[in-house]
Amino acid sequence: MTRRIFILLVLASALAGCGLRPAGNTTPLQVHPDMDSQPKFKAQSASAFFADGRSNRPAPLGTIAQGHLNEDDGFVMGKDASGNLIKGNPVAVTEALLKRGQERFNINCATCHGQLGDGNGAVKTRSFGALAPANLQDTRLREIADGHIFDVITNGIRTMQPLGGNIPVSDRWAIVAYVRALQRSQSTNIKDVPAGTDIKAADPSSSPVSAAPSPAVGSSPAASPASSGAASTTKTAAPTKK
Amino acid sequence: MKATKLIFPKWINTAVRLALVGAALTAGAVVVLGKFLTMPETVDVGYQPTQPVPYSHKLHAGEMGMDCRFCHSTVDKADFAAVPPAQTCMVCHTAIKKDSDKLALIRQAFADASKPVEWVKVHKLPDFVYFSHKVHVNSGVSCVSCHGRVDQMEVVQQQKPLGMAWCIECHKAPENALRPKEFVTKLDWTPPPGTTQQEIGLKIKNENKIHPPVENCAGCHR
Ligand code: HEC
Ligand code: HEC
Ligand code: HEC
Ligand code: HEC
Ligand code: HEC
Ligand code: HEC
Repeated sequence: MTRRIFILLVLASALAGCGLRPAGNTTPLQVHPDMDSQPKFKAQSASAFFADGRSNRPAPLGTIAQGHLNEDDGFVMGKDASGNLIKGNPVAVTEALLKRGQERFNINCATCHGQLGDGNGAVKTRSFGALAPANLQDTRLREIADGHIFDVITNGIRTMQPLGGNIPVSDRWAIVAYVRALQRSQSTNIKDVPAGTDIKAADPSSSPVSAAPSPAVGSSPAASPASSGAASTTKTAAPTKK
Repeated sequence: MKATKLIFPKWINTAVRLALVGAALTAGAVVVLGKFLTMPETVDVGYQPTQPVPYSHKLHAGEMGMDCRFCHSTVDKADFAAVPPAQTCMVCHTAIKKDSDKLALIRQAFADASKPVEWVKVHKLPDFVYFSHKVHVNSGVSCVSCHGRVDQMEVVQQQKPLGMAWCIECHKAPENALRPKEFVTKLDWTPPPGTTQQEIGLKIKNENKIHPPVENCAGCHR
């Protein structure tokens, strides 16, 4: 008898084993549901309490959270007191800002505008021209105010949708600074290199690990063609038209 | 009438012994099988729910090379990784495939904010565990360590157990997973030729004084 029960148990658990493994769509089994699901809201979870079913509450229209009011229009909106787009960058342009800008540009803009800003990102080819991102190397855009680029990121323009919701204000200015560096890097002239610069020695390697000279770590194929913004000005200077 | 004395027949002895052995075996089997059957490796790995919108990471993140942070924009700023709102999709899909049936729910959510797309959550920790994306991503742990090659998935599937033993295994030796921060979203990154994962990992670990919680239970159960 016990033997039979034992054999049955083994068979049953073996069968159950097949059922336990979530074959794709079956919701995983909760073995000890104890405190797995607590009556609290986690980010982006559903809620039966609110009419729209979301636990994340959107801020009521026209309100600003405490401590989030910034009255510096130049910084927040890219406009001066009389509402004109500001010419320069309200944030001091440093190497750190350019690095940040490079990273954020490659995340948020490169899919459309390409890593060089020439408008040839993956989207253009993959969408068969349904969306045609602008060439940021265009002369008009080279000469345009910094505030305009900031405004385009924040509010979009024509067929480009606003991206402001995803990119914090300070990152938008970092991107603007990097776009400027990109534009410059594609139009440099050997005369821009300060006299006496050893171009080879100035070649940067972009990885933080390679603070000490270990180029192997830095030169991953994944590193972007336009290595660190300002520094690459010298890098691209040598081969360009002359 | 003789008084009947209850005398067990001889075979009972064997039966009792058999029963005892059987019970021991059963208990053993229940423990072993029970453990095996309920391990996160068995229970959770392979979960791949059908999503309301047939969104493909393979196309967007893989073929088009979009960075994870274009959509999961809070992953390096907050504990949770934001699943993008319809606006993020509409950045492209106002123009691309703008009449596709597959995108009907996205257009609906975009037009009416009270009807968000109800994505099915794939990776799920119990509520009594504290987890933060920010800490991991900013110290150089790649998405691939915990989610697998998402950029090759047509439909997202859970590939790692996310159990306590699994978390601790990495916390004891994070150098096996650490990489320079700028490559955390490059899922196909490998150590450059001439270096090993250990070398790079140890260097990052020592430079940034990385000590993930192991014995400190309150690190994860707070
Ligand atoms: C979804 C694709 C997409 C993304 C992502 C994108 N853009 Fe654009 N962008 C466009 C398109 C399309 C245009 C052309 C708009 C038009 O002329 O109709 C454009 C135009 C522009 C222009 C030119 C505006 C003008 O005055 O003509 C600038 C500057 C610009 N984008 C900057 C950016 C920056 C900076 C980012 C990253 C934060 C970015 N874009 C991200 C698609 C995109
Ligand atoms: C175009 C936007 C987009 C990009 C780019 C993107 N994702 Fe996603 N991701 C989504 C959406 C939408 C979902 C929810 C639907 C689903 O699970 O497929 C999601 C879900 C996920 C999930 C499962 C979340 C859960 O429920 O557990 C993981 C993990 C994930 N993404 C990782 C990544 C990684 C890693 C990358 C970069 C290689 C990436 N994603 C790039 C939009 C994106
Ligand atoms: C950077 C631009 C971009 C973004 C952002 C984007 N997509 Fe796409 N998507 C594309 C392109 C390009 C295609 C391929 C179109 C084609 O095959 O012609 C596509 C195709 C699709 C398709 C297949 C449509 C069909 O009819 O075959 C779906 C579904 C889809 N995307 C969902 C999403 C979702 C959901 C999001 C938001 C989480 C999103 N996409 C964000 C560019 C984008
Ligand atoms: C150390 C492991 C780990 C790393 C690294 C990691 N994740 Fe996660 N991820 C998790 C766990 C665990 C969950 C489930 C969290 C929960 O249920 O609370 C999760 C959940 C998610 C979700 C669902 C939303 C949420 O927050 O619950 C998305 C989307 C996601 N991860 C994307 C990413 C992306 C993109 C990256 C890389 C930039 C990444 N993850 C890196 C472990 C990790
Ligand atoms: C692939 C490696 C890896 C995996 C897997 C992993 N972690 Fe970590 N974890 C780290 C590293 C690296 C740190 C950073 C520690 C530091 O900066 O000192 C960390 C730190 C943490 C911290 C401390 C955060 C803080 O605020 O101090 C918590 C909590 C944590 N992890 C929870 C988890 C949980 C829960 C899981 C499993 C679901 C997990 N981790 C899986 C590598 C990992
Ligand atoms: C690195 C993060 C981490 C640390 C440190 C940690 N735990 Fe856990 N613990 C987890 C995770 C993740 C789970 C959920 C496992 C699952 O879902 O299968 C868990 C689950 C548990 C459970 C519930 C098991 C169940 O099946 O219900 C207990 C009890 C527990 N932990 C005790 C401890 C104790 C005691 C310590 C200290 C010695 C500790 N944990 C340290 C991450 C951690």
